[in-house]
Amino acid sequence: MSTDATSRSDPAPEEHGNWTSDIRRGAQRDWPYDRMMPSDEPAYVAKAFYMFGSLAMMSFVTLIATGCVLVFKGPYWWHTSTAGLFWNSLHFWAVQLFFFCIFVHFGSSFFTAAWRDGRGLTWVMGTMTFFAAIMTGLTGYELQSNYDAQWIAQQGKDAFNSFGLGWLLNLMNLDNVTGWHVVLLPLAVAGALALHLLWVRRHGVVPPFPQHGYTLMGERVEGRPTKREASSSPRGLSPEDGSAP
Amino acid sequence: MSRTHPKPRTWTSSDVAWKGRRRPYDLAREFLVSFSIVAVLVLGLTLLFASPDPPPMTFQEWATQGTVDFAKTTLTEIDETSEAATYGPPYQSTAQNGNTQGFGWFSPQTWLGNLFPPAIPINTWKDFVATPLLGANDPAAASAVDTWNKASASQQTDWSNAYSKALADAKASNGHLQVTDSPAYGPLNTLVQAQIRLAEAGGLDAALSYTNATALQGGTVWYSNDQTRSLLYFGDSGQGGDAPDCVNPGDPLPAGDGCWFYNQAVANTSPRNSGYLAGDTWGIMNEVGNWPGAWWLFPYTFWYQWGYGADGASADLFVIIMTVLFALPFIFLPWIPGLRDIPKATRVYRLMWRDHYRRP
Repeated sequence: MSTDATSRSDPAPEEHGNWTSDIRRGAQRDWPYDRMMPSDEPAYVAKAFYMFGSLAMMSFVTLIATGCVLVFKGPYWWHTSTAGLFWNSLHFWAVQLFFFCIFVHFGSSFFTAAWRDGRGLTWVMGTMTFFAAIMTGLTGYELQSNYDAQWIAQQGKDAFNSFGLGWLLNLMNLDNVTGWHVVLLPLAVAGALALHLLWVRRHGVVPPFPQHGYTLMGERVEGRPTKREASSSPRGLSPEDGSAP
Repeated sequence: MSRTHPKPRTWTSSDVAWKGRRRPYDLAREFLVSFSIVAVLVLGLTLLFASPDPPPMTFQEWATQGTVDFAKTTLTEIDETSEAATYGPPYQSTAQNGNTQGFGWFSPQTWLGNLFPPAIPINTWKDFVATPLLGANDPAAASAVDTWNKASASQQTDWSNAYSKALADAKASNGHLQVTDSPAYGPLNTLVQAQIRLAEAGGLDAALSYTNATALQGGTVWYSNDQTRSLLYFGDSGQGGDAPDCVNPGDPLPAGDGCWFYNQAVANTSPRNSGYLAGDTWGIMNEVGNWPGAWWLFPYTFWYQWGYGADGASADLFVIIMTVLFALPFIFLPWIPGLRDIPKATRVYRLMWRDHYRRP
């Protein structure tokens, strides 16, 4: 199979009807190695705001790592030990950073309309990651097992009960909450995040809105002046504009 | 049976088809740099601010420092008029006092909360008072439990009304409830005083965990960190924040001891210095002191701040519905005309990609 830089297609026709080979063919088409681990990107991707996505992801990695340490010592460690308080604080601030980066990432994705050109599912999976993260954060506040936890449990129970789901996630039962916070919800976040990342790699970063004098694909239209050229003194066209290396 | 693939499918994503300039990009380096930034920030914030750990409230503290409030709340658990006693699903099969939330026929609390009725069974008299007292080796309390159990409903109501009046003007000194016993109270003063003693000794905190439940195979449930009963009991303090002695956000704790659990969340007094945890001050997205709290819950707590969400009978259901209603267009934004066109109309993207648009 070969994959060039400009288009991707199925490898040579082979037996159809075998689910495994169908999945393999689709994966090879949509997630070739050069797509999963790119070494070059369009120039418009070189902006700092794109980094908040990876900052959010690394905050999640930090959360998993510090969460593992907290699991080793159990849910009372941070009340009675300086080392426990230290690791609990790392986990706490990683949560704050995680949500901050997610919000900035949402903002930049929104204002660049990052869902264009078939990237709608990438947006949806991002929102799923966010909602799963909210539930994880809420249950995390319970695992703090302090007065905040008491208050949030006693107050928050009514929302779950009003929708008839209080028996499924009982914020006042730490045994119940622990399973949700440590196992189920992180799996949900990781799953949604993995799908989000796969779709980011599948579709890449959305190009800027087309501008006057350029094609949809950023290619300079020869002979057609840009708005700046049309409104200022005539100037020659730069040969490197509008052509891919 | 097999056949060949009819036609290879081909597609090209728009960034691959992009004909503009490209730049070298190192994904692995970006991950490492991102992780380093996160690590430095998290470590720095940890060393500067650590994390909050306000001491949890205990029945021992409540009974000692808020004795009258504890006694009043306990009476509502005995006569089963508290919110926990009348809540409905998932604690009881049917609600009393109109506590079950719903709008007309639409009541998920009734439908789903009753799927396994009652999912989390709570009988405040038995679970909060009788069972703990019977385990306390207090013969007078055991006798009072028996008297209450054998009394008729009307007799219980008479005792409860009389004792409620006595508690209305009652005082406490050093954790001692100053109410002189009277035949009009039946066993109630004995029960409440015994409950206060049990709580002040620290026994009630342990007795309320799930460990007094009977296991299916006999014996009791011994492993438990289920604080459902304790937190429901706490929550009944000060009638859920509606009692007259509940303070305003940021005020100091009052001289009296009413509304204990709620005031701990609202009053700005040590050891918790909570200040602003009540629902109408953005509630659970706050936490004690000046910590950032769960600020990312604002799409949900937003709806509690005004209108029906602030004081409606089914406010929680309303808030959930509004949160979901506003989450759906957020999730499916790419397919909603008008909403998806906002970025193009605002032209903020030109600022974000200013290098790109600066080219001739």
